Parts: sequence; C-alpha cells; structure tokens
Amino acid sequence: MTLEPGGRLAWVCRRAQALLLRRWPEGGVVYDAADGSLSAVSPVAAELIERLLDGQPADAEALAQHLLQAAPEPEDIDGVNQHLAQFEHMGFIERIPS
Amino acid sequence: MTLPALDLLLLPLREPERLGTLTPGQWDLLVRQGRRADVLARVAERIEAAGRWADVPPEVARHLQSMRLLAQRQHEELRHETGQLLRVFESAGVPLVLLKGAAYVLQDLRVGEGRMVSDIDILVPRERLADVESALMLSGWVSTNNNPYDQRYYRTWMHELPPMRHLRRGTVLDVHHALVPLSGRLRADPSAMLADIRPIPGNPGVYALSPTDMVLHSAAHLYAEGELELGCRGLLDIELLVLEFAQDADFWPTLTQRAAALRWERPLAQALVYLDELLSTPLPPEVRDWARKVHQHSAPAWRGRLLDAMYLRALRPDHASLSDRWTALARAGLYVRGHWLRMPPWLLAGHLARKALMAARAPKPTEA
Amino acid sequence: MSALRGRIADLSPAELSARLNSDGLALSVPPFTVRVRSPIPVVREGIERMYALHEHFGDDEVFCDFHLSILPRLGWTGLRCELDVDGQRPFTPLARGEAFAFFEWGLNWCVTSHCHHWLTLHAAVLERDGRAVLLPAPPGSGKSTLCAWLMQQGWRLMSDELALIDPASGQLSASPRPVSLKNESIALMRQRLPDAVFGPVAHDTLKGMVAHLRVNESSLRQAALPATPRWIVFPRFEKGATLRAVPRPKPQTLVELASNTFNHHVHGPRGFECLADLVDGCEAFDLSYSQLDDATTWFDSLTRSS
Repeated sequence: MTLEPGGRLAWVCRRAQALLLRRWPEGGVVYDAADGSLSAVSPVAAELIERLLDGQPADAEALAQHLLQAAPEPEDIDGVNQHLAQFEHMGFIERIPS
Repeated sequence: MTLPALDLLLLPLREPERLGTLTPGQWDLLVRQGRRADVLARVAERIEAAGRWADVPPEVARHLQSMRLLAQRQHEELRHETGQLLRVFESAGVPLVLLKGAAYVLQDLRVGEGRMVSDIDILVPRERLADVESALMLSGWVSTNNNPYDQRYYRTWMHELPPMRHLRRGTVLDVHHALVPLSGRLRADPSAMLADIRPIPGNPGVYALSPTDMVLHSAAHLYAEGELELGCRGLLDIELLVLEFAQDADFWPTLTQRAAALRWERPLAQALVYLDELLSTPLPPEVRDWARKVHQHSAPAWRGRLLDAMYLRALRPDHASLSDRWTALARAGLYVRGHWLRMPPWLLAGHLARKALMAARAPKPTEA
Repeated sequence: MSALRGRIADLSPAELSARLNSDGLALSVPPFTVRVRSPIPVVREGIERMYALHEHFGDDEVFCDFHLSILPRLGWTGLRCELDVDGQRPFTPLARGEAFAFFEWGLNWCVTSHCHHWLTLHAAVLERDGRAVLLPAPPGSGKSTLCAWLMQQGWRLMSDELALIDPASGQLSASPRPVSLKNESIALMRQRLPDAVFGPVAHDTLKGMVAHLRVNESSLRQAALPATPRWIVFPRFEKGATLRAVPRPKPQTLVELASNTFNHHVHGPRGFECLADLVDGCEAFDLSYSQLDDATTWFDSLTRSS
C-alpha cells in the first residue's frame, strides 16, 4: 500500500455489526462477537471507538479534532495514531488510503 | 425384538399434541434419551413450532430451552464463520461447498431446526486441497493433529483432513476431500456430486450438494461409519431430509436413479430399511419394496441379519434405557466394521496396533 | 404431581443407604431435583449430614434434572471412585475418600454444562434485604471462608460457587448447597462455629484437604427468592493486612466477570449486554483483609450505605 506524498492514512470500521461497546466515565469495554473476546479500553479509546463504529472513514487528525473540540497539536495526532494502531491490531478497524 | 422402542423420544417430534399426557417419569426418560441422542434442541424447536410449551412442565422446559439456546448460538456462529470462510475460498478460487449440519442450517431446511452444529464440514476437490489448506492457514487455521502418521492416514485413507481449528475464534473445520473413506468399498470420488452443487439462497458464493446427494451422502456415512453414538441423529436427519424433499413428486425416482448412477444403492437401501424399522418413517410402498430387495441381496443372509441386529442396536441413542446386553458388543462390532470398510484387513491390523501403541505412550490427562 | 416426602434427617441411615444403593435418592436441591446413587459409605455420610435439612421425593416418579452415581473402582494405587452422569464419565477417577466431594463437584459440573437458560458465573452470592453481593474469585482468595462466616452472620447464602443470572431480568437465582472449605479454613470455621455441622473430610485432594459446611436453615428456606445484584466484591485474603477496600473501575470489572462466566460463549452478544448491565447496576470493590471480623463489619456497612 503506497501513500501519495501529502496523502493521509484513513481508517474505517467494517465490522460494526460484530462489535459492541459499553462506556462509562472511567473507560469502556469492546465485545467482539467473532470470538467472544472482551477488551477494556481507556476513556479516550472508548470515545474514538464510538466514533469509528458509525462505519465512516476517518483520519487521525479529524478524530483528534473531534476529541478536543479544537485544532489538534502534532502530539495529539500522534496519540490518536497510537490508539488507531492498537485498534487495527485488535481487528476492529482497517486502513484505507484516502 | 427385546429392545424398547423409540416411541417416547419420537413423541414430541411426531405428535406434540400428546405431550400433555406424559408423566414426570416419562419426561425424565425423554430428556435423558434426547440428551444422549443430541436432539433436545430439535425437540424444543418442534414444541415451539407446535405452540405446545404450556404442556411442558417448567422444570423440563428449562432444559429444552437451554439446548435450544445453545443450538441457536451455534447457528449464529456458523453464519458468521461462513462469511469468514467465503473470503478465504474466494482468494483461493475454490467454491465453498458446505456439507451436513452446516448445509442444513444455512438452507433453512426442516432438518436444520434445532440441529447442533459444532463443526463445519466442507467439501474440496482433491486436486485443490493443497491450495485450500494454504489459504486456510494464512487466515489463522491450524491442524489439530501434528502426528505425521495420522496426517498421512487422513490424507491417504480417510475422506477428510484432521480437524482444523481457528487460532483466534476457536471454531473447528472438517475439510472433506472425498465423500467417504477412500479405502472402503464405496466409490468415494466427489466429482459427480461436485458437478451438481446448488447455490444456497441468500448466501452468494456458498453451495450445498443437491437434495438427492445430501440424502445419499448422509446414508453413505451411516453405512461406512463405525462410531454411531450419533447414529440415531443421523437417521433422523435422513428422515427429515426425505420427508421435506418428497414434496417434490420427482424426488423418489430421481433419488434411486442417482444412487444407481453413483453405485451407492446399498447404503441408500440400508438407510431406508432402517428408517422403516426403527422410525416407522412413512415411505411410498414401491420405495420400501425396492429398498428391502436391494438390502436383502447386499450380503449373505446370515451376515445381513447380523449386521441388521448390530445396526438396530447401535442406531439407538447411547442410553442404558434403550440398550440391551448385546448393545455394547454391537457398537464394538460396528466400530471394527467401520474400520474394515475403510481399510483392507492387512492395513487395518497395522493401523489399530499403531494407534494402541501411541495411546499407551501418551501421558494421561489428570482431569477432563 | 410429585410431592416432597420429608427431610433427609427423617430417614434412618438404613433407609438412606437402601435408596442410595438401589434406584437412587431423589433429592430436592432447589431449584433442582437430583437423582443420586452410590454404594460408597462416605457419600451416604456426606448426604446424611450435609443435606439433612434438604427434602426428598421418596418413591415417587419424579423428573430429575441430573442423574449422578458415584461408583467404587479398583485402581492401581488403591480404592478409587468414579462419577457417572447418566452413563457419561466426564472425569478420571479420584481416591475413594473424595467420593462425597466428587458428588459436589459433579453437581457443579452438571449445572454449568446443562443450564444455559441462565448465565452461570464462578462466584459466591450472598443476600441481605433483597440485595445481593457477588464474590467472583479464583481458588485461594478466601471466598468460601468469607461465605461460610457471613452466612452465619445474618447474610443469606444463595450459593458458594455458582451465580445463576437470568439474562432477561438480571436477577440472581439461589441454589443453596454445602459450602466447600479447604485446608486451614476447616479448622478456623470449626473453632468459630462450634454449633455448625461439617461433612466428611477428604484428604490429599488436588486442592489439599476439603470438607463441607452445611447450609443453615434460613438460607435453605428462602431458596426460591431471587435477588437483585448490587455489589461485586473481589476478595483477597492477605495475612497480616489491614482491611482495604478499593473501588474497581467498571471496565475492568466487566472483563473479569466475563472471564469468570462458564457459559459466556453460549450467550454471545446478549450475554455481554447482560453482564454489562449487571456491572452498571453494581458497585465493585477489591477487598484485601486478614481479619474475618473486620471483613464482616465492612460487608455490613455496604447494606447500610446504599
């Protein structure tokens, strides 16, 4: 997969029907119906997952913007990227070149 | 016949309107027999369809609903797993052909209602086996048996690979590369059946055998299989299949013709005879006559009678209330026969000896 | 309609033996009916003492949920016993002296293997004023000792091993049975509860020494009453520790509860929602303690504050 110069990596959740999210102020739990596994996630992660569960493609910057309700700093975007990498590893989301 | 009949177990399936007449002791026996035969979920679905829960005592209903839930969950997992398998098979360029329980459930057949489906059975042409295996392994499926002897046995003599398990999801896949064990007397080549596969409505890319072939395949397994713990369920499967397909006027002649073309008349005839004897399945007279004639001629009289006696015991659910003192012997006899049909005797002796030796060497588990 | 024929305590040892040796005893273990057979003396002894207050169905034809037999076997290393569940043998044989414990473990196995109309969790459940506390815990956490003690301090014992949750209502059902105690707990409870009734001691089991404590009358009497779960407590016995109760975040509680659920895989997404609702409606704590009395005070304070 090649990224065009200046191109942004986007992510999408195609498995929303198989994923359930339960959220509390102190964090959330994602249930994956494919294997019955439960994963406890931080409040930030829970917020991001909830957004991604709507099935729309999103990139790290837009997600960081949504979280902060303000323009994100580079560290904020890095933080979000780390979460996204984690979600990909857990099989919740896939990457798509935007 | 000294054996008790299967009437009690068949009652909820045949005459749910009579459930209100059962005594607590009869319910007790029914649930126990049904549990051994693995048909409690089927019983629950019949009661649901007949709207007869009011006739079932709550303490009994709990058990039936429990198994019904288990079966429903298995069906959900099956549908999900089929989607996953489809991607693998599409990448390998091989059609996904489902067999047995998985096929029954996905086609919404009567036989699939309440049918427990713990493994998924698929059929793959022999020449594509390697490609399918690689594609499966790339997607996280691993073989459950790494013993090279067993691997060779399964590929050379058996009709299926050792079960494969998905690393993450834990689901089990039985990959069939032939219809019946290759070392047996029945022709095992799946080409004719694979040439007649039918798409499963609502499941693009997924196929099943044709109606006649599903019946024949099931009958052949009853014939060639040595371990018949679930033989009763297998027989019930065949009954439900033929009764559903028989609504088509052409079904019976097509079935017997297909059996002749594949040279599978003996297993079909045997299955029909046992349906008649054990389950009193309503068969058209000409079909019953045909079956009896073929069955009687399939073996010398004394051997035929012995086989019948063994089958009619082993095909009952494996429960004390449905056995007599010959039942254990019958099961053991059929187990050996099952292997006999799979292997010539000189190979069989070697195989059984090797299995015994490996079992003796293996460490015993301390708790189940 | 089958009728209960009296308590086990009302049967003479000879009658009890006779039933256990022949067609079996139809024992009412609410909410179940269990058919139990065994010629082994320690099984009779265990049932006689531990199920004295439970009732039976006499010779009536009755629907039994489970059919268990504990059968004598002769092994290479001595006298053994085997568990037969209506013709199936799910476990390898144990030493003869463990036969009554085998019955208890077998019954647990039956419930968790066959009863999927509930979500079944590996946890103790105690109730007070209609509200229940769940104690999920791995072996060695001191859960059973706590359970045994709290039962005698006015809490109703719903179960010492199996939490039974109705997925539709979220309510807990009770199945009060003997509390299984191990090793030092046995001596501790004997000392603290001089009037309590204990069962036969099995030595050298995989878990060490095992004995059972009979359920008290009031817990058994209320067996049919469900309860609403309100607290989830993860106990940990720590020698010499002062009592410490730390609230556990809900996400971690939910994950831990799921891993303690025997039939989680059967209930799938609906099971997840049920467990999530349970956690939602409960306060969860990690409790470290070394003094039983301190722990009791703390549990009592729970009911006062909510």
